[in-house]
Order: sequence, then structure tokens, then C-alpha cells
Amino acid sequence: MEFLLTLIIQIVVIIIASRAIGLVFRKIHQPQVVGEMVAGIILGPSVLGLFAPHAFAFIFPPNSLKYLNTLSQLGLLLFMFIVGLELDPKLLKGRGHAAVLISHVSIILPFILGTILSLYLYPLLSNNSITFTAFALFMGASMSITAFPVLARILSEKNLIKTKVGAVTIACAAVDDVTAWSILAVVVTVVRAGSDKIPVWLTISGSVVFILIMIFTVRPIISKLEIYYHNKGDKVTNDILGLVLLLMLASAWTTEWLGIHALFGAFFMGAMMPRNKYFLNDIVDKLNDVTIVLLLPIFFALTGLNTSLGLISGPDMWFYFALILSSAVIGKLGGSTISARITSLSWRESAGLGILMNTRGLMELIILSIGLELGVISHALFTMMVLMALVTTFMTTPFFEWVYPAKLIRKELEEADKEKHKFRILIPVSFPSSGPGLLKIANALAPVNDFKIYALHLLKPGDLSISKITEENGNQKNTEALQPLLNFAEDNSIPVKTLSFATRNAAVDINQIAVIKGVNTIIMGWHKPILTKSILSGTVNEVIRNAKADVCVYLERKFNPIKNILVPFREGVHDKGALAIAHQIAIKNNALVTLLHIVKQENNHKNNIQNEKDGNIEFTEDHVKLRLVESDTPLDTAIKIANDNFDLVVVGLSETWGLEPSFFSIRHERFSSECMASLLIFRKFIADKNSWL
Amino acid sequence: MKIIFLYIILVGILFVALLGILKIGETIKAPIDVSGKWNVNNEFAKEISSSCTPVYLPIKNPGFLIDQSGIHLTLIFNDAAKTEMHGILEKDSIFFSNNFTLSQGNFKGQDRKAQVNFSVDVLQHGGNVYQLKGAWLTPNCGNNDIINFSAVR
Repeated sequence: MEFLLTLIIQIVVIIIASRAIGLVFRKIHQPQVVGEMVAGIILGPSVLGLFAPHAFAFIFPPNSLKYLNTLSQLGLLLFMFIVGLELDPKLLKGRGHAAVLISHVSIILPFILGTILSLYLYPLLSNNSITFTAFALFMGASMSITAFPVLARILSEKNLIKTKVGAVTIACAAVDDVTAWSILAVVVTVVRAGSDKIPVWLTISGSVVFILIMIFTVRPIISKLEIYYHNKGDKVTNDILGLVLLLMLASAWTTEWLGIHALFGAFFMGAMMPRNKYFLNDIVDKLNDVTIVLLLPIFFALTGLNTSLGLISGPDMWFYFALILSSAVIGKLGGSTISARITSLSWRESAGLGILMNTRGLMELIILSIGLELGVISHALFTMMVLMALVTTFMTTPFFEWVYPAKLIRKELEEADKEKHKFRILIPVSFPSSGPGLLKIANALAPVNDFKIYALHLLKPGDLSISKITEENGNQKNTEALQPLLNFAEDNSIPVKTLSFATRNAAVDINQIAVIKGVNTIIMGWHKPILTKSILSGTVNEVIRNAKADVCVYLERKFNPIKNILVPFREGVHDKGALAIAHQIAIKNNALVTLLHIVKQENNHKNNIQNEKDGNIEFTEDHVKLRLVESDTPLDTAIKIANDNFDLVVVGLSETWGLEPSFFSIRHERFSSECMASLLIFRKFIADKNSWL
Repeated sequence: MKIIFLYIILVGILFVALLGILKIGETIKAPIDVSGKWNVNNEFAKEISSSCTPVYLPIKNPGFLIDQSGIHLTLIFNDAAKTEMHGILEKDSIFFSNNFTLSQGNFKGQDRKAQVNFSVDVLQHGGNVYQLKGAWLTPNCGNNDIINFSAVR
């Protein structure tokens, strides 16, 4: 089983390289796929083969590549199946005509440029075993591709899905996907025409029959899967998954036998699956991770093994590459931009759309590998086209940021939310179970009328499937992490607006969203950090330090209604703020606040208490009572009293109470660990205009 | 209606142009196909291993693979080191020429190079390439070694 030993080593090396290099590229805000493409090239003859030929020969001996190739083909089948599953006709709602026009112009123009370029390149880079028509059609098709998955992820990471340019781009890319793969099916048929394998007439007629059977017979039958799914409690069981995979493989086998490549069958079967969003999401969830983490990197590695930069030697070859790159960029970017402008998008929006449509990513590599497999393109031309795919995908993010800077995106989002006068609270929810407690506190401290609560869930970009990226914002059923909060909101008639965003830096995005939405108070739950014991480190620390709003950190320990509130008070703006919000909570919940004023022994500060009226808070007998205690150890005293039958302790963020934010603290926060009551830690945002004390 | 009109103008016209380009391209001729695995005759194999060529190249099995990108060819010998030579195809002849560092015997490790030329004629029948014939030349080898060879695919 020597092949197995080699195969395992290969897979280990490939996964390490793709994750490590992918991480480096994510750090510079490039999509993971760019890193994986580069990882593949590094593992190939261009880098590893050149600088460490013995290691290269040991890891990738030629006779072992057929096993890797099998796994990579399986990965591609699953990937194309997932792409088909995630195709959503609803994306075209309201913009179908414009999307089709923009998409088809963005295909035909680079296609034309590719075929014109073929007039020059065919006698230089091809040979007489390939007809000009096959070569030109293939070049045209490979120039006109857009990577819908990468594009969708870029839009999601920039939170542009809900903007006009994002919505139109997604719709265009979806149309692009279907059209380009259909064209490629025709091209593959033309290329394979005349081969002994299967006659052209059989391929064409067989494909037509196949499509008709799929749409009118297979699709109605497999729609019954949805009923079976419901009967299993809205879960994709292993039986359902097994059946789905069998259908995909059967479809892939059929199209491969017909001569139009197995990938079309996999894609088509994905598109034929029942369009129930939960069903599709469940299947994608089950297939996505293994495909993306294990199988697709193998494909990237094999692409890299076929990519030999040494073949592009000499000025002539680099000149051909320059021609290919410019035709691809001018055709796709230019075609998309002009046609988008004609459909009345602004120049900036059109340019943004054009840049996004110029992304080629993994889809381009798939087409190129088909071309290499069919012998339409040589290794040198394959290498040039791979570089073209890499460059066009890499340039998308920085060019898009140049045309569509983050400030502009923020302005668009701000303009969408014109209500400036309500009291606004933002609740970032990380753990679903913390949602109800946070909402309870938010509702408790909000004014009786005229307030707005936002529940925010932040997602890591790599965790998202396309259907989750493109689903409607505010669709409460689809936001699993916020479901307990939403259930609590519904039970208690608390109006909540949900927000979901992809994020690379949760703290930065929380602070930015707070500014965009004009939030007065951010309420966060306790996130237990990995390396410290402090609850005020990590993301919480960054929010406390940088948020332009008041910040509360809530630890829920008691779940009964809030009736007794303790506010330890010494001095300072945060303690005053804690008192104010405790008072607000007490008013709304008909609770009692005990103001625990701890003074040093031998000093009497009663006069200072009267001065608290400067904070415009009236102390009434119903809601606040004062308890004056002399103590030289205020923290010990406060903790001891706090454990005396209080439901909630509201405490200002200060060193007096052993609470001070630190990035990497190992200091033990006694209040958080020894206090039995629920704890609300308050940090006042100090700004001249925005204080609400 | 406006969108449909624009579609016909933008996409339709370009589609017609595409058909025109494909028609024009049918008249263009591509270089002959010499790619693939080639097996050389036994005499060449014997002579090349007994000549001074191994001083330059450790070729024991001189069978080779040609990787073709149009007129740009890469010849890869079927030896352990996968020795490569690059060449250009002009009509029906190929000229490979590379500089190699001395690899064996008294010259091993010394910074001495020699130019190896490999001149190949492509023989066709009915448009199909069936044989390569030519000469392998390693000058600066004492005697100018010219070794004739032939190879079939």
C-alpha cells in the first residue's frame, strides 16, 4: 500500500500549504482562493520543483498523480454540485432584464476579444491537431468566465450585498454562471467532435434529451425529497444525503458519457434540487467543509503541478501573456462597466460592478483544466491563463476599494437608515444562549417609547455558503444564532431589528456599525477569552476602548425578574453613568435601586451625595435608596453586600471595583467571579454633545 | 423594450462578428504537431552513451518527450534528471540548442560549459508526422561528435 503512504503525505502537505498561504492572503484582505491558487503554484515545478527538486520528486512522484487526480475530480464534482444548489432565481427579482443584458455583454465582449487574440496566437501557441474553431471558442469561453463564489464572498465581506451595486452584481454573476457553463458545454462538444469516442450528433441530441428529461421528469420526482425532508423533522439525514449524492453522480456519469464533461451533470443536478432554502442550506453545510478544506486544495495543487513558469521564458512569451491579460481585463471589466452604465447605474457603481465581474478564481481554473485535459491548450498557454486568473482575481479587492471606498459604503448604509432621533441599542450576539439575557437588559434600560434595538450577529467570511451570503437581511428564520433572542422578543413583544454581517475583525465592525446606526448604548455578553481570565479582554476590550457609544458588559447569573438592584458608588463618570442606567432599569421594571456609597472611614461625604442631583436624576423613595458605608476596602464591602439578595449589580468600569479593561490581562476580576447576582458593567462614552446624563 | 433593443444591438452584433472571426480563422495554419513521447533508434542510444556526451549530460536512456506550445518546444529526456532542451519549430525542422555545465569525470564541479545542438527534421506523410531524424552535435569534446538519430512516436 505504498501509494497510500504517498497519498497521505501529499494530502497533508497540500492542506498545510493551502491553509497557511490562504491565511497570509486573508491577512492582506484577499480571498482565500487566491492563497490556495498560489499555494498550488508553490507546490509545483515552478517553485518546489525548482528549489527543492528532491523533495518535489519525493512528495509528487509522477506515478502517484493519478490518485490525487481522482480525489481532485471528486472535489470538483461536489463543488459544481454546490454551485448548482446555490443558484437562486430569486436573485433576478426586479432586475432580471438588466442582469441578463449586463451579463451577456460581459460574456460576449471578452469572448470576441479572445477569438480575435486567437487569430494571432493560434499559429504561435497551438498545433494542427486542434482546429482553429476549437481553439478560438475555448479561448473565448475561458476569457468570459466570472467566479461567482469568490465575487459573492467579496461582496459579503464588504457588506455590500444589500446595496444596489451588490444586488445587481450578484444577479449578473448568477446569469453569467449559467450562460458561461452552457457555452462551455457547446465548446467541449465542438472540441470533441470527430473523436472516435462518441459522434457529435449523439452528443448534441443526447444533451437535449438529457436536459428535457431532467427538467420535466427528474425534477418533479426529486421535489418529493422536500416532503421526505419535512417528515424527518427538517433535517437532512444520511439517507437523504446518500440519495442526493447518488443523483449527482448519476447525472455526472451521464454527461461524461454524452461527451460534455461530468462537471455539467453535477452542476445541472444541483440546479434541479428542490428550492427549499433550509433543505439546500443543510445539504451545502454537510458538503461544503470537506469539499473546500480537503478536496479543492488538491485540485489547486494539481493545477500548480501543471503550471510551469519556466515555460514562459523569453520576451515573446511574456508578450503573449500581456496580450491575454489585457484582453481578459478589457473585455470583462470594460464590457460589464459599459453595459451597466447603459442600464442607468452610475459610473462609480458600473466600474465597481465591472471590477467584481473581472474576478475569475476557481471557475477559470476548472475550465482551463478541462482545456488541458482535452489537449486544446498546451502547458505554456495553460500557465499563462492560470497567471491571468490569478492576477485578475488578486486585483479585484484593491481596485474595488479604490473605486468604491469603505467611506462611501458606510454613507450608503447611513442614508438607508434615516431615523436619527430614537434611542438606539446595539446587541452583538456571539453565543445564541446569551441573546435573551442581553435583550432583557436592553429592553430594561431603553426608554418606554421611541427606542430601537438592533441584534447583531457577526459571521466569519469563510464559514458562509453562497446561499447564506445572499439571503435576505432581517429574515428572522434564517439567523440561527439570533433565534433564542428572537423567540424571547416575540414572547415579550419587544421590537428588534436583526443585522448579520461578515467580519474579519468583530470589534472594529461592532464599533463601525454603532456609528453608522447612531447607537447610544452597546450591550455585550461575556466572552470567555482563550488565554486570560479577564472578561474585559479581547473583543470586549477593544469595543470598550474604541466605541463611540456607552458600553455595557452583562453577565447573567439570576434569571428572575429584576427587582433589587445594587449600584456600588465611589466617584467618577462611570459610576454616575451606572447609577443613571440602574435608575432607568428600576423605573421600567418597578424595581428598587440601592445606591451603595462607600466612603473612607473617618471621612463623611454626605454633602457630595446631594450634589449627585447635578446629574439630573431625581432620587425618589420608590426607586432609589441610599446606603452609606464606611470602609477602607470598598471592593470587599461591595462584593459582600452584593451577595445579599440582589438580582442585579450595576457597576461602573473603574479600578476601584477591580474592573479595568486590559488587552491581555491575567488579573482576576473579583467582582465577576465572586458576585452571585447578575452583573452589568458600565462604561460611559465621554463626548461633549452625546452625553445623555 | 429598450432593454430588448439594446440586447439585440450589443449582443447580436457582437455574435455576428464572432461568426466572422471564426470564418477568417479557418484559413490560418498552425504548426505541425510533434508533441508526445518519442522512442529513439538503438544505435543512437549506444553511441550517445559511449561518446563524450555523458560528460555533459548524464543521459543513459535518450528517449524523450516533446512538450509543444505552437512553435515553442521543450524536449525532455527520459533520464533521471529529466534534462530539458528548448527549441523553435520552423516549418518542418526544429533546432534545439542549450548550454550545459560539465557534469562528470575530471570536469565535474568545474565551471565549464558546452553548447549542445540538436538539429531535427520532421518527416511527414499525408500531413501526419511519423518520424524525426537529425543530428546530435557536441563540439568541444575532443572530436566533434556528430551522432545521427531517428525517432518514432
